[in-house]
Amino acid sequence: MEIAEFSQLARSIEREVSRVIVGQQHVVRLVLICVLSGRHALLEGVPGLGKTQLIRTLADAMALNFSRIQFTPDLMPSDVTGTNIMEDTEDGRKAFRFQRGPIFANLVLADEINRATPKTQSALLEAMQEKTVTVGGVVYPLSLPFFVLATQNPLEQEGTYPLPEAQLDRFMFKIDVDFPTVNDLVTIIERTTGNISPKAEKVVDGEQVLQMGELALNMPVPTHVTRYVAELIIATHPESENAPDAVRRYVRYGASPRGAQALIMGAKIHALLEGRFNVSFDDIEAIAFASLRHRLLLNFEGMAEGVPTDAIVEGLLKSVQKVKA
Amino acid sequence: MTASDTRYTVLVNTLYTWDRRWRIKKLLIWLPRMLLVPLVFGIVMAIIGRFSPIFALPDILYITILATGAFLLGFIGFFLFRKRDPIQVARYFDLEFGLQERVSTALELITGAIQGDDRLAVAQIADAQDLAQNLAYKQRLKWVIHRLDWAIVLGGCVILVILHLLPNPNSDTLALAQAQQAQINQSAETVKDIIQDIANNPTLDSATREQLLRELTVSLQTLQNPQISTEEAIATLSDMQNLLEETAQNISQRTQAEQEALQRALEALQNSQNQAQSLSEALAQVQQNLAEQPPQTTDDTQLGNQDANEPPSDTQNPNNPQNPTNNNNSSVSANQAQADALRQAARELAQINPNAAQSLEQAADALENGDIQGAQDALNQAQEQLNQPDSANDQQNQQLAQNLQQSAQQMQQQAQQLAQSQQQNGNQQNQQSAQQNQQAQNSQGGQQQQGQQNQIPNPQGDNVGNSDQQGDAQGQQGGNQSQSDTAQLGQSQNSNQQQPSQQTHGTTLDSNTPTDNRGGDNQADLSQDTSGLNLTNPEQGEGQGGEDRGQGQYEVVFAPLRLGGENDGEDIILAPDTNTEPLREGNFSDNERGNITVPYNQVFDTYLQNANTALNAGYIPLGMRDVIRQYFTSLAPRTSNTPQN
Repeated sequence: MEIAEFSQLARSIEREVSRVIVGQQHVVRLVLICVLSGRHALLEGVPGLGKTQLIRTLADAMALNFSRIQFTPDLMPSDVTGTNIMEDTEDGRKAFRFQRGPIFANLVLADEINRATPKTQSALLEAMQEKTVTVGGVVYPLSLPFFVLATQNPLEQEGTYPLPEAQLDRFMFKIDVDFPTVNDLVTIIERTTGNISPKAEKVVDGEQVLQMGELALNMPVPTHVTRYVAELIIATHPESENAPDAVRRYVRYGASPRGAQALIMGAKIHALLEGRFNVSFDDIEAIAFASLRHRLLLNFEGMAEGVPTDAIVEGLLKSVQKVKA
Repeated sequence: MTASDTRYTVLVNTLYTWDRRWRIKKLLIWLPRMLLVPLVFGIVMAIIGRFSPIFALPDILYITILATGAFLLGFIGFFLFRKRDPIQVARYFDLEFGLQERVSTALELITGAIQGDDRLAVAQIADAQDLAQNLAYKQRLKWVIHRLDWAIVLGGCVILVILHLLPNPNSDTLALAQAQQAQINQSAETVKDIIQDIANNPTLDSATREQLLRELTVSLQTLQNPQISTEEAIATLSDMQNLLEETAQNISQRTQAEQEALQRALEALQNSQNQAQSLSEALAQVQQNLAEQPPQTTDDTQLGNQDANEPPSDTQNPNNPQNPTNNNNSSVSANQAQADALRQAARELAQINPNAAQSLEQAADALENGDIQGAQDALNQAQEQLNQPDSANDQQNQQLAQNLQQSAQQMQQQAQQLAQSQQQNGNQQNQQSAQQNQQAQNSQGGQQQQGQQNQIPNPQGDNVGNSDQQGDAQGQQGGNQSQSDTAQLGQSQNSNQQQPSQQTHGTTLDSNTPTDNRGGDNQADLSQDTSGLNLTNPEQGEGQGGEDRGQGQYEVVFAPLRLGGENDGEDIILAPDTNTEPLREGNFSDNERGNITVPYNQVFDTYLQNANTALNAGYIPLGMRDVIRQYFTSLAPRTSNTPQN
């Protein structure tokens, strides 16, 4: 894939999504970055902000297999991964046949993922990390591209099961879906209350998505930007010498190396989407909040005081020196 | 040259172009601010120099100029010639110009520091070059001259120049202090030479040499102490002078004693020779008489044949001077006396010339034995021994004493020069204080006028640095009377108001009438009494221009503050207690006010003893010890057994 083609396809995807999703350009950009990098995203926002619609529209624009899993407390892992069912064979014998679950798709929407039990949530771990599913001792590879886009509601916490840290870490971004502005809301009202519902056209297929991701991962990153990312990750740990005061005070555990990977990979695609051919500090800052906010585990004091992790990330970005010239 | 090299060179040249312009821009911004540092330093030093004699204005100016030059060189060198790595420059300008790390990434791609997709790398480098070459860097790196900063620098320069042009009241003090320090250093060099001379002098005995070297080395170390004060230097030089003079005097006395002993020995020798000559003549006369007269008895014949060395017989008439017997008796007693004289001379010469003493002892023995010829020979030998070696020895001793005396004179001269420079320093301070006093008095209405002799204290009198006491002009002007009381010598008397003088007793330096109020030559004659208190000559009182009367200035030791202000209370009179009887015995029963009167002469010894204890314990600086001694001497009652210094 050529660079020009990448830019054209990326702009096409965003354009098609924007035909359905009003506003939320930053959310769309972040979700697109996750898709192109082959990673997963967790979208958090109050109900009715179009999270599910965004993911569905993205699947439509990319011509990917889409499946939606509505997570509930009684959802079982086999409901996600699939299960072996007994069937009668042609010769009259009985045999097990693997019935694929909804996880077997290119784009999986795990709606309200925090309502499922941890046992069911953990069923996603292997699929998200290894892109395989193991049932009955048999490993079933998932078709690529494979993305899990999960949503969760921050308001209704009763009867929910917060995602464990290990699973949170597997999400490349945690994207906060903000409430739309007045103008966006007016547009949403106009689009959704009429007879005509806009729909995204397919502009890219799965193969192209993989090629776009492959091209983006070869983006050159200057050494001092890489070092900056490393120092940024180190500074998220309270025991670090360069950790800012907010981290020392409110953070129990900092970001893992997956956070650094997320920053660099996301920055590469962000740079390409911005029309540049190198990663800059601006790219890092653009995705830093989505990459780090779910990787900073607050301590009791931080949770008691309701310290937003975005504030801590903002302090991190200010405290870590970019260029030592 | 490959394509990557070309691209690298183009990028680096572009970066260095930006860097040069950036450096000049920073230089223009920071140069005035950096210049402010040495300027403020110079201004502060100049202000401090006007209040405290620490630095001379020329020195401050030089330091300021040097600091400015150093700052300029360092600053310009740092900004213009500091070598920076191209990648660092690229990273800086990526941020400075908002290039989003394009240039630095391109450099790293060209140099191979990072890898990337070929298509992306080519596109990235091309993008960076295109952006760098089309960047309007001159607009982004405009040379800005902050006029306010340069105005502040200019103002600082003006202030500095003004501070240097205005006369510094401490410049003379500084110059004198430097001159004093140079004088002290010169004195130390002189002491070094003296030490070397003494160490190389073979005529000094080892004990005296070691003592001298030890004392002089200690004094040299004292002089070489950078914290030494002028008073201490003067005292040290005075001590060395005394030591050298004492040593020279000892050597002179010893030489003189030797000469006297030799003279006495020679006289005894001469007397012995004369006596021997007389005896020989008497014996010859006796023999001639015996030869002319017929022999009367056998004894006479035997007497005539008797050896002249044998003692004469007592049977002769003792009243006849021509009687040989009488002559023999008198010669025996004379021989005995002469032998005693020779023995005395021998004992005196035992240390000086042992050989001559031994010869004299032999002569004395011969005389006692009546061996005139042997005595004559021994005396001749002693005379030869006495005449030979002592002339050179005396000359050496005299030369040594002369050398030591010269060294002592050098010490004296050094001390005098130091004292003179200190006196000048004190005079300047006093003049400043007097001017301040005059200004203060003028502001108060000018009640006290200048030149009113014997009426009021001269406000322009030499206050000897005691600026706290306005109008306490020590010394007196030409018309003032000198007190004949020995205990108050050196103090001023103005209109029957005696001023307690703490410094420069008897010294008055009136800037208006310097010839009338010289009060001596203002030099501390350390060979004599250095305090200016002449206890033996009451005529040499205060205010008189005596020659070399040992007057000096010292720091204030005790300056009594009077109740009710200055010059309106009773002055402290340091008059000796002429009355040996107690003025009043303390009686607690009817002592309503609680005052106790104790005879002065009874308590003085206690105070004196405490003062001596402090002096011996080393609490008192060297330069102040003589002052304290003289002070207590002036306070001593006549009937007291106070040791007079």
